[in-house]
Amino acid sequence: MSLSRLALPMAGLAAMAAVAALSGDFQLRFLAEILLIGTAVLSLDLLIGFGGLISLGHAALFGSAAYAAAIAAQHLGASLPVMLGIGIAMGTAVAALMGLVILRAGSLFLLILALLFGQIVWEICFHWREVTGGADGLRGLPPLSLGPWALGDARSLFVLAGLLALGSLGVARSFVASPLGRALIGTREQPIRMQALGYTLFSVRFRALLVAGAMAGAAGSLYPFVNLYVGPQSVHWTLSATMIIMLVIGGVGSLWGAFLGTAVYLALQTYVGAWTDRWQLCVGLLFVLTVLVMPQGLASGFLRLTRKGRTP
Amino acid sequence: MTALLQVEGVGKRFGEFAAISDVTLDLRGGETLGLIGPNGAGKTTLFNMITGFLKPDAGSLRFDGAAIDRLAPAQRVARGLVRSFQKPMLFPALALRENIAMAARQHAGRGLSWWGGARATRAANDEADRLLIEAGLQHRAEARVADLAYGEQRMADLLIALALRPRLLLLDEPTAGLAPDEARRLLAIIRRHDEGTSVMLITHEVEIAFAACDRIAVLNLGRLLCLDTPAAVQAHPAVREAYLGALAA
Ligand SMILES: Nc1ncnc2c1ncn2[C@@H]1O[C@H](COP(=O)(O)OP(=O)(O)O)[C@@H](O)[C@H]1O
Ligand SMILES: [Mg+2]
Repeated sequence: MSLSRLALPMAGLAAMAAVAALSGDFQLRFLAEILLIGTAVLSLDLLIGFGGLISLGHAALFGSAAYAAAIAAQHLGASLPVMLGIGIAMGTAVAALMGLVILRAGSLFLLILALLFGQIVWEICFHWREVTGGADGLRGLPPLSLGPWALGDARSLFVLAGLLALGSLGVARSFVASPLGRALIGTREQPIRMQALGYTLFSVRFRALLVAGAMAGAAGSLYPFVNLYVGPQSVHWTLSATMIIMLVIGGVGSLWGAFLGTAVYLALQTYVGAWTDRWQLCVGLLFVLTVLVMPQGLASGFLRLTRKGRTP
Repeated sequence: MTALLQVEGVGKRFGEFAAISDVTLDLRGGETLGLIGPNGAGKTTLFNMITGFLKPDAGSLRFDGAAIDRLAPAQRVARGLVRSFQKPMLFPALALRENIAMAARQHAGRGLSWWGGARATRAANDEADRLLIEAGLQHRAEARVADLAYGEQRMADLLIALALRPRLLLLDEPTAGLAPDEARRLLAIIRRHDEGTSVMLITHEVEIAFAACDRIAVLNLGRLLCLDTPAAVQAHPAVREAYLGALAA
């Protein structure tokens, strides 16, 4: 049993090692970006896939952590544990504020309140020029390091992002299986009965939001170091919407589908985008196709195919 | 005997319509109190106010001597005030065992835990299995609740409430739509758990109320007609006229 539980992480590590050995700098940075944004999408899956909480402000958690890390790095240097700590703290704190605002309302209002909350965070990042660099964002960050080791090269960044993604996937699985995760599912399935069982909806959802905030914050804290830049689009609501699209394509509630959806989206953006401005049309078509043909997302479609292959 | 629950002059209007008017009643520790009355009499509305899902317009509620008017539903559950619903309210996509364990974990104070959650999960599953065996449903433990038969769902609804080890269990027509033998099994389980648990039982079936309850409250058009022993209620002229007479006719 412990062997099969270790099999997936081991396979993940092996794949990572192979990719790290064989890929070039551009690909490795691109993959690191996929893994970091994918981790943020994974944290969004906890809210949407298990709590039914469709937040249109998730980029605020990811992006504010990215800014916090970048700003801190300019003053303190970019030590990995410090960056992660700051990102997790920032993501959690912003999630707590956000929860106080958005969790008072039902589904449609929650979505809009989250959007408005995200816009406030964006306004702060966009207009507080002295600290955030305004529209230009922050450049010229020191490279990431851990004690004597420099981690600023593409290979290290990819490995770090991969470890963070794997770790987050483990955390997410443990969360979903825990009483708290089950309670979150309960609040989605039957909120009235949950209250009749003695659960307070706000307490359940608020905790889930904190977990998602910490996870998105951890991912956000490494994000500026991939391209040594952070800008206001990392907190913009369009990134929040993009994360939802990535999640739907990958598969809501599947956890690992978050990475699949992020990879497909960013690959279309990068490779089709290099060739035509109409890449968003491709994304739109893919989105519609997914919803129509594989409403559970690519992750489950993929699983169904492999399962079909196995059983005659 | 002291009153466990005191309902004092409670009223509720929906717009112009008075669903409950000036209802005063008490429930004694250890007793099973029946609540009967024709459809639309206000029985469920009264339950909703007692359990905190509706705010009364007038009156007050005391449980175990303390005012509970300002407590949220979850806080009332924490004090031992547990209800079921007229229409079974289950977690249809989850397994039967998990439905009951959801309640058992919260009762154990571990409903929101994460670290160390594995032990809480195991204990709650054991508790769920005990209840399932008692109800003869252990072979359905892994089934999605949506796939259960109606009678099994009603039983599941009761087991979920019992997993909270209530001090006062409020059951809203638990036997509605059940075959006679299913109803008998369900009532037997309620009786087996009524040591240390008081019960307030809404029912449509007068025979069940007379057989299972120590006292019976009769509601009609939002008002309490009488509250007395089954024999006295049966003899009560206003009750005969408003309710039993209509049945006998
Ligand atoms: N939320 C509500 N809004 C408006 N009217 C309601 C509401 N809930 C119940 N009622 C009305 O109040 C009356 C009592 O309903 P209810 O308490 O469900 O009766 P019972 O459970 O005795 O059959 C009914 O006429 C019902 O239509
Ligand atoms: Mg009713």
